[in-house]
Amino acid sequence: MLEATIRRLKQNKRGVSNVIVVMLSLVLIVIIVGNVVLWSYQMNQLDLERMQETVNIANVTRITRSSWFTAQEEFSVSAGSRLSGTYTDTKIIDDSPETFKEEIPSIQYTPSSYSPWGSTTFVSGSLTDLQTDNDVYMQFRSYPSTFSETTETFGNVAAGTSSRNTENTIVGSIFTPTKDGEAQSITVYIRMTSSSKNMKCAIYLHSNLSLVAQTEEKAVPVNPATWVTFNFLAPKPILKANTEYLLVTWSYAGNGYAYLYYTSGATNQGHYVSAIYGANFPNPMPNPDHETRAYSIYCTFKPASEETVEVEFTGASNIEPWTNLTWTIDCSFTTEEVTTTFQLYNYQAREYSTSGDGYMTDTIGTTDTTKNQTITTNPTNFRDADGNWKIKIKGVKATSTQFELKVDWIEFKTTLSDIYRLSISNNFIIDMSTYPLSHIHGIEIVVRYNVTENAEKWFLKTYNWSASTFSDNSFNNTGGSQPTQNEWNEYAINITDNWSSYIRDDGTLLVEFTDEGLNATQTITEIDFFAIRAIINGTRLDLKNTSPLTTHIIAIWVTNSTHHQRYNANLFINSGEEKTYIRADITLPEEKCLVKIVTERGNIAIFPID
Amino acid sequence: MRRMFRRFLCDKRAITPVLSNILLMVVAVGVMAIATTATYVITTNLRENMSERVIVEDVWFNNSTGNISVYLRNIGKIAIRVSAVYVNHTSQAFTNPFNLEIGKHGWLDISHSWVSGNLYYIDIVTNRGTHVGGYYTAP
Repeated sequence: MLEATIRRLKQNKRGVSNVIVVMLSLVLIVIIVGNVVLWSYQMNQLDLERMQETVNIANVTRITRSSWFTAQEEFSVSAGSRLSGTYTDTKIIDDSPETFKEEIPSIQYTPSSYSPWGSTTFVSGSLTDLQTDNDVYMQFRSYPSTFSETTETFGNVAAGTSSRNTENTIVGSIFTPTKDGEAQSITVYIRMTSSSKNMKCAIYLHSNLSLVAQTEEKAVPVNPATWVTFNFLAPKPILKANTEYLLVTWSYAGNGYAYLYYTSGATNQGHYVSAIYGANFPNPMPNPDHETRAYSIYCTFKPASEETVEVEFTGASNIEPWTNLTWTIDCSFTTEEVTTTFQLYNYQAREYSTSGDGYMTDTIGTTDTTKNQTITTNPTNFRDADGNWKIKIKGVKATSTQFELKVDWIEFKTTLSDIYRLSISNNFIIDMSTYPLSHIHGIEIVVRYNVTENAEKWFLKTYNWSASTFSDNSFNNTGGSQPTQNEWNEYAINITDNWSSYIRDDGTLLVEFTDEGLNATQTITEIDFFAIRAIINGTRLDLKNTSPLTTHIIAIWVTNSTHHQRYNANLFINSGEEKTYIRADITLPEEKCLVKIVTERGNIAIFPID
Repeated sequence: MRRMFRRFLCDKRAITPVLSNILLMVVAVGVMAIATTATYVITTNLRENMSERVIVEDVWFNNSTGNISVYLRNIGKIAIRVSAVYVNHTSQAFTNPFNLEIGKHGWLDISHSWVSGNLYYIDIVTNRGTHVGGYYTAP
């Protein structure tokens, strides 16, 4: 029977279309029904979650103060010093303080310019290297300051056998002295033919062909080859050891020749360049040609017997009254045994001090040496009317070799009084998202402190951002806090008028805690708690989510018979969590009212206030 | 080529099955299109009805205006439109039209005088037939 039915179905093609239509219809129905069922499921899920959500208001209270806002960074100490602890010790009241110490107030200055004296030359470094004692130096090179009475020579003292005409030609060779010295003369081995001619000699610096000095001019008579000396006129040139110099001679053109003799020299030692003879040597020398010749020319000089380095440093300071002045210099030299003089300029005497205050001397070598002096008598003699000051360092050594002065640190410290002071300040930032400025009615500041001396009061001030100064205007107490010695003292002030100029737009208050400035005894001050808070008229809601779902509070209602006010909110409370929600912008009415919270799912919790 | 085309046009065999198949196909597609459209319309309405959720956040018997103000919030998945408001089963005038997009909220003012201490049944009906409301005592 079944086989027959199947066979007939297989043979009968007319039923296929019907089957396809039925199948398509079924698919369509399934899709439609599935869509409806899925949508229904989603809405049921929404309803189920809404039913499960339970959020309660445990309490609603009126609040007049925000939470405390403490320091978020280390205190800035403008007078005094920090002894121990950190700013984190001032965040809670736990008798574990940050400790500060009063100090005599002083201001430090460093040089703002320098001036090498004599022939002292700057080598390296900058004025910023003088700000700290950190082995980074500003260096200056010495110059020969005194010369021996005996003379020495450098150059070619051998009389050559070959020669070059020097008429209208500057001719000479490179030579290097081994000592510093003062050049006295140049001597050349020369033969003049037919007629006498004017001649002179000169020294050029080989590195840049600049003219160092030229000698007197002489009319050299006709003669066989002979040594002729040309003297330098005053001021005579100073030569530096181990520096390449060009010793040259130059002759007027006339009848005959003016031959300069030479011996064999090093490659490119000889130099010559055509130049019409004139009153002065060209400076710099025109580009010369080179040859392998050592011309018979030498320089006679007096070697240095003493080297000197001398530098003046200047700076600015203040024009306040000073109780004392301390000036400090840390320096060394590249050689041993340098007699060093440190001098401070005395504006009253109009000269550098030569003894006593403003004068120090020492013998310093290659090791850094720190010299300092405190001036207590008329310290203001060492500044001008504008507060400028000058320090001079001079190093002298009996040597013919250059050395360098290495200055590491220069400090000019002025002490303004003999009263010990402490002044600390810090930024305190009010959370503007919770306590918008428009809902703040004032500021309260409190400090809990302990002092070892009770001879003076302590004061709080806040920075007035409009006036750019610390002030206690509009404080409820401007008389300061008289502490009890070695006990915890609490000093609290509040500002309810004109407080807005003390708060920056981002909620920052800069608060200063300072002593009265009367005590000549050093006081140790401990700070256990230092904080600010905003004076507000807000509402605190204690909420609890007892459901297994996270809830999202989106609105708060405060209603009474005459007033129904809705406030937008955005607060998430995790499952099982209790949360305190503070709103500075919600002010509860004085009479009976209802406080409601509304969740995103549509549930409402109510708290009546009598 | 031309001869082949003429022969194709002159050949009358198999015309009837082709026409009948095409006709059947057109009828089947038409029926399916009508069924799909009808189903879409029916299920869309059904789905919109299911998606409506409105809550009453607050009811204010306003002394200053003498009216009743109801603060509604649309927590459903479709915009709503209030079509009727009943106070104690009597239709009342209200701020018409009153529409709320998804997630939006606002006051619906009902022009109805109230007496302090009386109990009122407020019923708000959307144009899809969703009811929201309850019993409220005037303060």
